[in-house]
Amino acid sequence: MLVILSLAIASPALAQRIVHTPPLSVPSGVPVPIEYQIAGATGESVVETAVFYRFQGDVAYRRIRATANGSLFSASIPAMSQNAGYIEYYLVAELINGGILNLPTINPSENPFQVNILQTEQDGPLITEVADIEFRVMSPLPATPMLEDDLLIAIALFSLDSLAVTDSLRMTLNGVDVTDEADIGPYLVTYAPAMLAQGSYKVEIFFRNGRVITPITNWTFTVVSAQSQFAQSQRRARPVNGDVELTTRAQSTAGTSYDFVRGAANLRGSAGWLTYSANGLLTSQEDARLQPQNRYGLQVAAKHYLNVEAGHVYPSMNPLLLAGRRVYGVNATSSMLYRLMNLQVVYGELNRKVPTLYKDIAIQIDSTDFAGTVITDTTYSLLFQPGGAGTHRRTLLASRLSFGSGRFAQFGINALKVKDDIRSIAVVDSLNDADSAPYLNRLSAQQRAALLANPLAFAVDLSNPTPQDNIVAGFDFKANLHGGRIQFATDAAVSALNTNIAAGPLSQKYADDLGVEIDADILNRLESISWLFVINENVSALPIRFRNDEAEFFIPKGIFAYQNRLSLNYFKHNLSVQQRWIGPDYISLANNGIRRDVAGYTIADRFRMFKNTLYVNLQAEKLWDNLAQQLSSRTYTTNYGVSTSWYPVNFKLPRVTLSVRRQFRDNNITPRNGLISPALLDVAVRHLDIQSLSPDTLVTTLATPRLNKTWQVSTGLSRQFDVFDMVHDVTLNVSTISTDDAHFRYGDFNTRTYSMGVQTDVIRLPLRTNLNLGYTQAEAQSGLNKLDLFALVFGGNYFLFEDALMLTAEASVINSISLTTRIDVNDNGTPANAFDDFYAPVVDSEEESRTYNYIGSFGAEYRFLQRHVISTTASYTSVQTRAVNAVTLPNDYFLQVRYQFQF
Amino acid sequence: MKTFFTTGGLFAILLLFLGLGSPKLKDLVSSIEEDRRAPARPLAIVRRFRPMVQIRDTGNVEWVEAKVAYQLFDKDTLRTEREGYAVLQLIDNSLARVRPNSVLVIRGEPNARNGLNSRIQVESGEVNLRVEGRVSQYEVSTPSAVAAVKGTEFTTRILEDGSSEFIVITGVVEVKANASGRTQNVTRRRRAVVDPEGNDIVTTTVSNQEVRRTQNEYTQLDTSAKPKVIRIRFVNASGQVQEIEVQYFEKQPEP
Repeated sequence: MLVILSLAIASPALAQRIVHTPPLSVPSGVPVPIEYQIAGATGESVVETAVFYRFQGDVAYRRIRATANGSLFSASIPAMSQNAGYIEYYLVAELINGGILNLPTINPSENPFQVNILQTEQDGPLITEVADIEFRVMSPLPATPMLEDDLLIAIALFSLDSLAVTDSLRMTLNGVDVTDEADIGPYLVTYAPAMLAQGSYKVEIFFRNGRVITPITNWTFTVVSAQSQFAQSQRRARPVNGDVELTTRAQSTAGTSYDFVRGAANLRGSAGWLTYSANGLLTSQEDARLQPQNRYGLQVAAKHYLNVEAGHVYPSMNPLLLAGRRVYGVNATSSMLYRLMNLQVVYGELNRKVPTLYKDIAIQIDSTDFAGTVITDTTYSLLFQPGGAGTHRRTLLASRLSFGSGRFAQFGINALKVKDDIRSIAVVDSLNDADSAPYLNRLSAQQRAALLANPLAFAVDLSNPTPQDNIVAGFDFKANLHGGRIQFATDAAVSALNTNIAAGPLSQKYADDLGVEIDADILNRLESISWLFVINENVSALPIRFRNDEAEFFIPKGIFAYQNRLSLNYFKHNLSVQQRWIGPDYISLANNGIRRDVAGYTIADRFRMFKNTLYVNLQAEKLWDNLAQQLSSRTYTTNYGVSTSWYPVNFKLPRVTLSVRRQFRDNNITPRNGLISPALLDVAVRHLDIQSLSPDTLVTTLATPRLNKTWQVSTGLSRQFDVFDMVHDVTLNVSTISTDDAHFRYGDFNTRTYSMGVQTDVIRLPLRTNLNLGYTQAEAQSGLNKLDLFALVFGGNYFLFEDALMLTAEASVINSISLTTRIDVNDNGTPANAFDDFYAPVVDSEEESRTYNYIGSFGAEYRFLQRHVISTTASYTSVQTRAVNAVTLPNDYFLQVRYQFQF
Repeated sequence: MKTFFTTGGLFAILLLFLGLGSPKLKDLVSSIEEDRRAPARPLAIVRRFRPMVQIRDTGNVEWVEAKVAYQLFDKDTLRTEREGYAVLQLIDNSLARVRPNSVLVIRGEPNARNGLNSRIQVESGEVNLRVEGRVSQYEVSTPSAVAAVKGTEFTTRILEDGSSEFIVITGVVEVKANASGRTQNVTRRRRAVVDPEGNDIVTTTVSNQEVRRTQNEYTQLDTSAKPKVIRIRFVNASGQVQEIEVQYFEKQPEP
């Protein structure tokens, strides 16, 4: 047999063809709808198309003309009264170019489609009964087109209790019984036809017992081609999508206004391999005295090969160096060699310059009568205006070169440099600064002459900004093994910081001032590398130390930092071990969120039991500080914690959480002070080590002894109740924190918090309410400070217009009562000796303060035209404080209107 | 220790209040037993998918290939392979879209309001859940957190370090850290990240850009879950024609 194979989608000869799926069977006595599509042709390019049909036993075909709807054609074969077993038909279309299309394509009249006719009950008329059966149509949703490549009919049934009824469940599609092809169950009926021609269909679900029919539901839907849907989406497609948001707010809190108007926009689009986006934020809060409040950015990416972001960007690399800090500049990433090599470069501004604003030089004359002689001291102070302390422009250059895609392993090398631009702002440090001239000129000639004659009388503001220089280098490595069950990651870095580079690298003059002799070659080298890092006396950790009056080079270990983490995920346990060491002198100015001078390890295991309904977490941690032994003592912090949570799937059961933690902080310093009585040792201001070195006595001040123990316990329960056709979620929480200080009488702290919340969903109303009650009781400093706080919040949401409009209202009452007794330093009757001072409550200093806050708020959010949202929120807070010497605070208010549009 | 015992006492009282020790407990257990004896109710169907997606029925050890309309019952597990993607339609018409390299367990039961009381346990990967209406109650749990939902769309993702990330597209989600029991209401366009130990919840704002990107990614995955069709036509020497269809899924480009 000669078989000719042709791919319908590839052959130009088949560019125009009839597409049609014949029904599997049709019911007798009803018209038979026939729908088909002429691919590659519209109704205008078809002169005429028709269905030729005949019933079983007929010799000749009859013709019925089809009507066009776009490229979709339909005709209805009339019902046949005679008892035919099947119907035969074929399709013919005449095109405007003279072509004729047939289906079946080869000799259609001899090879027509043949469809069986199903006979209806002949025993009498059908009887229809009514039953109230609850259901939900799952697919296709009414009035929703179904794609021809995504065919599924599904309906969920809710009130059937017996498997027996499924025997009588029937599903028909356009009158054709498809029950046998469907998956019929007592709760779910699904039918996934292999193919359906484009057109409209009617689904009917019903019971049939003999002649008794009990309808459940019926609905219609339309099958459309994926191509037409795609074409429609293409017509709707825009080169960019995005959203716009406009917000205006009027707010006053404690008398301070925070009004603003803000507009934000985000655009995003793609073209082939390229994706691009832009974002911008403009706000009335923009102020040249602050860092940028207006933000904007652009991004262009060519798959994973290149990604360039410009504007306000938030790059990340090794977390010890840079982790999401805002940069005004460029962040570019490129991947090569199948992502095996990646390069990231970041350049931009961390801080923009904010010029200094000084007041005029203030002259202060102090006179002292010294043994009958009046001594006059004159000071010339150059101080800042309020908010006048400026900021240097700070730039960042960082890069990361990594090898490996990260799927299994990746190794990265990181480097970063941050430097302040000395010349970006004018800072007056001394009279020698040229920038001091304008202020000097505003003095009288006499004052100016007096000052120049005595330069030491000139004082500058202590908050003068100092330009800094910082370099950091490091590496990172991560590995994922055994499908991610074993993960290892390590980060390490070393840093150098110069806290003041205003005077540049170390000079011979300054060395002379210090009395240090430095070789000229060394100074030249310092000058030559100053582009990379400025080295002078302000470097935070100098690699030089003196021993026996001789300087020696060493590596200060405080400038290093590293952290390692290993996690193992086996047998439903997730065990992780983390170790860290962050030196006290390790600083990255591009990441100021790192806690320094800390080392230690953390071991944690979390696992689940009872089919993932019981969660258990165990954790042990030990941390310590004083890594470079720069402090007089080392504090150890030890934490142990156990927490369990039970979350049964059954909503009738309560969910329970219980957490217990224990913390110790100990610096191994024993309290001692031989100058005060033992009874006052736990309130001593200073602790002393007194040694008798006859005839002298050596007194050494010790670090403050510390031995804290903290219990932290919290429990929470929540349960759901169905009462009066309402669903209530009740939540109760109790938590306590109790800290005892073994060495300091007033170092204790206890707090207990009780809270209850009830959220109610009213099933027959679009209403949801919230009621929250809270009570907090706190006590500190051995009962000298007490606080009781009570809060009641009641509110709700009401939904209208099919949830398009949501109204929100809330009323709150927050009352607090505080009782405070001040603590002061008692000189122990020896004002001249500070070593025997101790802390004591101030007699009759107890003060009671009662504050009542009443808050009312209202809000509305309305979604319209699918893409628009407008929302408003208003609240007013009445603040009343009753206390001796209480400051009367103004009431607070808040009003905000926001509009959002997505396109 | 005083604090500990005080809290323990309160805890016991609360347990009583909430019914664990009440006379109703017997009724409660009975109702649970009744449910156990009733025929299993499906919770969801596979609405569409792209291979490889596999399902393991409760009590079975074998994984079976997913197909459209495959029914999922309480405790069934679904996993998607590297190229896999699945859209689950729950019986209240909520949608759970499961990204590649994900594993989830579906738990729950229909409630009296013809909705679902359900928990979707995300073991790994990412799931986007769009809840329809107010008749159902959903929770999405991860190894370190549980998120309670009522009428919203949000995405749950387990990050590489084991943290759980919840991004709320619309509505409100209450996120609870398992270990500490801390809860946080996360509103629209906010992200909550719960650390691997289930102690802390950190919330941040999600830019519209990121929301759109996430939605676009799911739209692309939806599109890729519809098979393409090649029709192959055979014609023999006598002119008889037979046409067969071959469905296939296009390979997805590397993200």
